[in-house]
Amino acid sequence: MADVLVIGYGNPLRGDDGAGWAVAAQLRLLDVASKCEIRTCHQLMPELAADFAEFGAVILIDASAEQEAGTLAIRELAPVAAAGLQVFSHHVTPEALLTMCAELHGRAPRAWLLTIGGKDFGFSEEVSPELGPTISDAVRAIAQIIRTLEGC
Amino acid sequence: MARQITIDPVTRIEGHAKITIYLNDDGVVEDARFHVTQYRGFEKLCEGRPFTEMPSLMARTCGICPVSHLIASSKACDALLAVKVPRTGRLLRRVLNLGQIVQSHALSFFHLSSPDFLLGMDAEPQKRNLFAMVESHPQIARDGIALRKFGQQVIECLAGKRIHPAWCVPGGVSEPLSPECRDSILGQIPQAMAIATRTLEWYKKTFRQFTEEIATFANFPSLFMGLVDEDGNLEFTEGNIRVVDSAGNVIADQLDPSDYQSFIGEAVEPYSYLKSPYYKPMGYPDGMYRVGPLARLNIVDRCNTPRADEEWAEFCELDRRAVLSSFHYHYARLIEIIACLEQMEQILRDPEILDTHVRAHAEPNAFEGVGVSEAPRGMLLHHYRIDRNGLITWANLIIATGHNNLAMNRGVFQAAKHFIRGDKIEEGMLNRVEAVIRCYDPCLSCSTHAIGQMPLRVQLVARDGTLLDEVRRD
Repeated sequence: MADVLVIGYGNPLRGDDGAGWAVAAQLRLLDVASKCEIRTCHQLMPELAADFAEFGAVILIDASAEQEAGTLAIRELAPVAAAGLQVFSHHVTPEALLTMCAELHGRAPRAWLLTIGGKDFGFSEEVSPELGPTISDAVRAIAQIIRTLEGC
Repeated sequence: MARQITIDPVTRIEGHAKITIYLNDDGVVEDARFHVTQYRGFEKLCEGRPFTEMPSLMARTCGICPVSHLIASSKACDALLAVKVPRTGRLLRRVLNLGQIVQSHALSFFHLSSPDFLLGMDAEPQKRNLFAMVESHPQIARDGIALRKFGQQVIECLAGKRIHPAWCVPGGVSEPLSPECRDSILGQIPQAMAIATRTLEWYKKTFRQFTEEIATFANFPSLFMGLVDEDGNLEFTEGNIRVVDSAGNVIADQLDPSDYQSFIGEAVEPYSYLKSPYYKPMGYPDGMYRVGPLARLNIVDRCNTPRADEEWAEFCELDRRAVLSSFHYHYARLIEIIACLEQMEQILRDPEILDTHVRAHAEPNAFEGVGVSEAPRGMLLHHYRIDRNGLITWANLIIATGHNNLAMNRGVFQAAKHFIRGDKIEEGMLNRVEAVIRCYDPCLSCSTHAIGQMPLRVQLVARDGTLLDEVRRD
C-alpha cells in the first residue's frame, strides 16, 4: 500500500471550493499517482483519524475564501494540544484530525495542508480558469513532497 | 412575574432548533416548546421534476441519512412504475439500509450522546464533546470511529460513495453486487460485532446510574409506530405498519403504508416548521406516537436474529409494558446495531445475492406512489403524484423526526419541569433539557440546513424585557 495519503476536499458544486478535487484529478494523471493513495471528499470527518494512522504522510488540499485568489499556501501540520479542540460530527479541522490520530493510535503521520485562494464560490462545477496555474503549482508541490519523502 | 428561557440553538443534534421554557410567577416551569427554526421545502422544489430524478434529488434532503431518503423515494417510484423489484435488488437495498442504520446509530451514540454518559451531564460544554472523549476514553472513541467507518464503507462499497449515492433507483438498484464487495463487508462484520457487543455490555453497566434522567427524559405513555414484517419481526426496509399502545397492546397491525393518510394526520403549529403528525383514530394531540429505535423494539414480537433477540428479551425486562422512557432510545440503538449486523451477514450469505437481475424496468403505470422504510430515527414516508409525462405534481414527506415532534415537545416540558427551577440558569439543567432531544437523535437537516458554528445562547428574560440571566456557548 502507498505510504502517502492525498485528500482533496471541498464542495465541487460550489466553483472554486472544488479546487482540492481539481488538484486530485490532475495528480491522478501523473506517474506520482502510483506512489500515493488519492481521495476526494466534501469535508474532513472524524473517521479519517483512523485512516491517517495507516499512512506515513498525509497531504490535504483545500480551497480558501480568506486567502488572496490564485495564491497557494503550503504549511506542514502538527498535532496540537487536545484541550479546547472541538470536534463536530461531520466536520473537523486538519489539526484536530492529526491530534485525534495521535491520541487514539499513538502516532500521527507527517502532514501538509495546501490551500488555494478562490474567488468564486457560487454554484458551478468548474473552478475559475484563473486558478489553473495555481492548481498546477499545487500538483507540482505535492509531487515534490512525495519525491522528498521517498528520498528519506 | 412570568418569565421565559430560550435555548437557541440546541447543540449536538443534526440541524438547527431552539427550546423555549416558560416560567410562571413563582419560577416554576409552566410550558416548554421545541422549535425547528429553518425551512427547506423539498416538497415544493421537486414539483415539475421527472419522477426518475426523485431518489437522487430527495437524497439531498440530508447529508447524514441520504440513504434513507434514497430508499423511501425509490420505493415510492417503484409504486409509480407498479413493478415488482427483483428479489436480489430488494436484498441489496436492505443491506444498504442496514449499513446506513449502523453508521447513523454509531454517530448518534458515540459522537453525540456518549459525552453525556462518560463526562457527565454537568460537565462544562468544552469538556463534554467527542474530543474530550478521545482523551479520557480512547477505546470508546476508537470504537465509535471504527463502527461508523464500517457503516460508511458498506454504503460506499455498494453504492459507490458514502454521501448522496445514487445506486438505489426506481425498480431496484443500478448495479449488482460484486463478490469482492460482498467478501469485504463479510470480512469486517466480526470486528463491527465485537465493537457493538462490548459497547452494549459497557452501556448496560452504566445506564442505571442515570436514574433521574431515565425517570424524567420523556418518560410518559404514548403510542409507538413502525414497520414489522408479516410475522411481527423487526423490519427496516419493507413490511407494514404496526401501532402499539403504552401498555404494549397492538392496537393496529399490518396497516398498508400506502394508506397512511387514513390513520396519520399532520397538524401544524405556529411555533415550528416541523409538522406534528398524530394517529388519527385518537385525534390531535392525543394521538401522539413515537418512532425510531425505542418504538421499533416496543412494537416487534422479536428481532428474529439470535443475538439481538437475547438482548431484546433483556431490554423488555425494563418495563412490564412498553418501555416508556426516551432515555432508552440509546439502549435500543445499540441493540439495533447488533440486529443490523446479524441481518447483514444473513443477507450477504444468501445464495442469490450476486445475481445480476437487480432492477425492473417500466414506464409509469400509476399516477400516485407511496414509499415507506425505517430510517435510523424512525419511519420515513415519501408520497408522490405525477402527471401523464411523469413529472411530479405534488409530494409529501413525513420524516422520522416529524413523527416524534409531539413526543419531543412533551419530553422537553417534562425534563424542564423537573430540572429547571427559579431564575438562575445552570449548565447542567440546560444540558439535560437538550439531552432529552438528543435521545431522539433528531435529524433536522431533513427539514433544515445545518451550516456553520452552533453556538448556544440562553437568556432568562422577564416579561417586561429585563434580562435576568444569560449563558453563552461560542
